[in-house]
Amino acid sequence: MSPNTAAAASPAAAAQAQAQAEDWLVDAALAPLADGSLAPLYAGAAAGELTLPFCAACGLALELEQRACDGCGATDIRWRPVERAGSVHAVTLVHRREPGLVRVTEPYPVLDIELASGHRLIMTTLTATGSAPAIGRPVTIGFRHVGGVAVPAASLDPAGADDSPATSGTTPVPGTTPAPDPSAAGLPAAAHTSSEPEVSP
Amino acid sequence: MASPLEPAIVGLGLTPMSLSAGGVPVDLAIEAVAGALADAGLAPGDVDGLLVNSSQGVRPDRLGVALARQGGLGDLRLLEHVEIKGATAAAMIQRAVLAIRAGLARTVICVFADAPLRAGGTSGSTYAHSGGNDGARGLERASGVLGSVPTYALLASRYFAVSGGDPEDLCAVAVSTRAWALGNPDAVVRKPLDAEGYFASRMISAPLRVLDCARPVNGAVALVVSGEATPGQAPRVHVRGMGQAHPMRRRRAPGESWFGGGRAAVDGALEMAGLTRADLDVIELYDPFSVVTLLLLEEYGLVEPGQAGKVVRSGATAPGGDLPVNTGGGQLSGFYLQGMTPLAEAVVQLRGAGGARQVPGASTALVGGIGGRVDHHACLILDLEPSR
Ligand SMILES: [Zn+2]
Repeated sequence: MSPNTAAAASPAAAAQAQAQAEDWLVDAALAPLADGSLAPLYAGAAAGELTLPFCAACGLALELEQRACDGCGATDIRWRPVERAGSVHAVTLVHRREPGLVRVTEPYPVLDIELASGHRLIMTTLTATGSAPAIGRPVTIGFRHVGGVAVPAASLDPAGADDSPATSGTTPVPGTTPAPDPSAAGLPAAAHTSSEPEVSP
Repeated sequence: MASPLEPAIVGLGLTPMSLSAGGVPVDLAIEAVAGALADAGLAPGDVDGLLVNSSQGVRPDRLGVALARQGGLGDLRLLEHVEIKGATAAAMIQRAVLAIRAGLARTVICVFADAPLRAGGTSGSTYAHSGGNDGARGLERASGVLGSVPTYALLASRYFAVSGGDPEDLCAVAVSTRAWALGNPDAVVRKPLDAEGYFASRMISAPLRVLDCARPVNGAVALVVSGEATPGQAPRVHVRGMGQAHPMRRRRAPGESWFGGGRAAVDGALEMAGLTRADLDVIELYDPFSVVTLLLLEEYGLVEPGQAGKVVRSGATAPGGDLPVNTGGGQLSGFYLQGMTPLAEAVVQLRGAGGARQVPGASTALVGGIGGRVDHHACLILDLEPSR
């Protein structure tokens, strides 16, 4: 994957350095397809925004792969930045670590986050942690970088994700201070999933 | 001209269930088909329909409709690939029955084969490397969601939060299911299991341990559905009721995203059969993970909401209990051949062929199949009687 382009301002260099650093959790081989079906999400993430789909006609929050609104039937989808805040809806601590794909040596969390916008996104945490947060716990959203692609991640820090305000819906990119942890990409964001299945049941 | 008899399952064929690498799906399928035809007392030329359930997703050597040619069948009037993920097996039986009733075919084979175990890699590794990098799945994979266990662990987490319950309930399912497997020579795990052994097993994705997960095998199952009188010795197993439900749960607040909406499949099947839940002698559910057994017992209305753990811990679902569930060891301890696992066991029980794990006098069964992330449900009510 080619790295996304970071913002143009002075923090650009810092942002670029973050984007090129290795992710704490997974190998770059798991980088998502930035110009695929979720391109608006990744473009927003590269600019520090959590960008998600809504029905352009009725405003209903839609799933990432939804192409028509289940509320009104409209097929005009609008992706827009949302507040980078939510709470834990479901949680697991993954013990199985696939060699070559997962870089950590200890169990890692996977969270289903219910965002203030109503969307639910699956993500891991911004930085390594061996504990699983409780359901209902508030989180803010930042970004990890996997193979140069920014992906949403949850910050469990009660003070919010690094330098970004916890609930700034439309704040542009990372801000002032560089994130202390190389894996803590600038800001907010989260993402998730819809139903799909490849592995059976 | 329509068939003379109400369509029924008249043949069942299983290959040996292997925990070793080896075998290719088409060969396994052909072996199972031969077994099912022999069981029914039929020859390939007696067959005029074939329904194929491939293993979706990751396998390049999936079964296709070419199986008809490769397997030596004659001219067919019905040939289809059916695909609603894990719910496909029950859906194939539904399709076969409806086709026979409509006069589109007389004798239909339904087959599934899979060989996920390969030399040099585990099935877990095979699953971990599948899924691609586009769309929602690509984003999940970049977030460390590899294979299906983490997603079902999230489901378990959410289920516990909503319905109550805890790992002791998962343990009870694993222990109950294993107790059934002890009596099934086709089950691949037949070592006695207690709570101590369960809690000593490896954690995969909390709260799911390795003993909460299905046992993939290389193998195949085939069934023959026919509206003709057939010379096989086993009693005809009739399909009295059928139903499907495909709930479009959305991944947004405030509804539940991980479960719900499957009950309509069972309600519809029971209504068609003219039976109630109290009439069911055995319950055979798709159980890729222990939590799914708990979830489906509640979702299908077989126990009161929030009571599944309590019911399983009481021993009701185990051998000798009054709500026998997954009597062959299910997918957890028996073998994981997707929807064929509960379907084959239901047929064995109604035939009275269950040997050491036979439920005395079983004459009606519920078969519940799910697909995806519990996105698809296909149910059958099987009965020794063609009508009541
Ligand atoms: Zn709409």
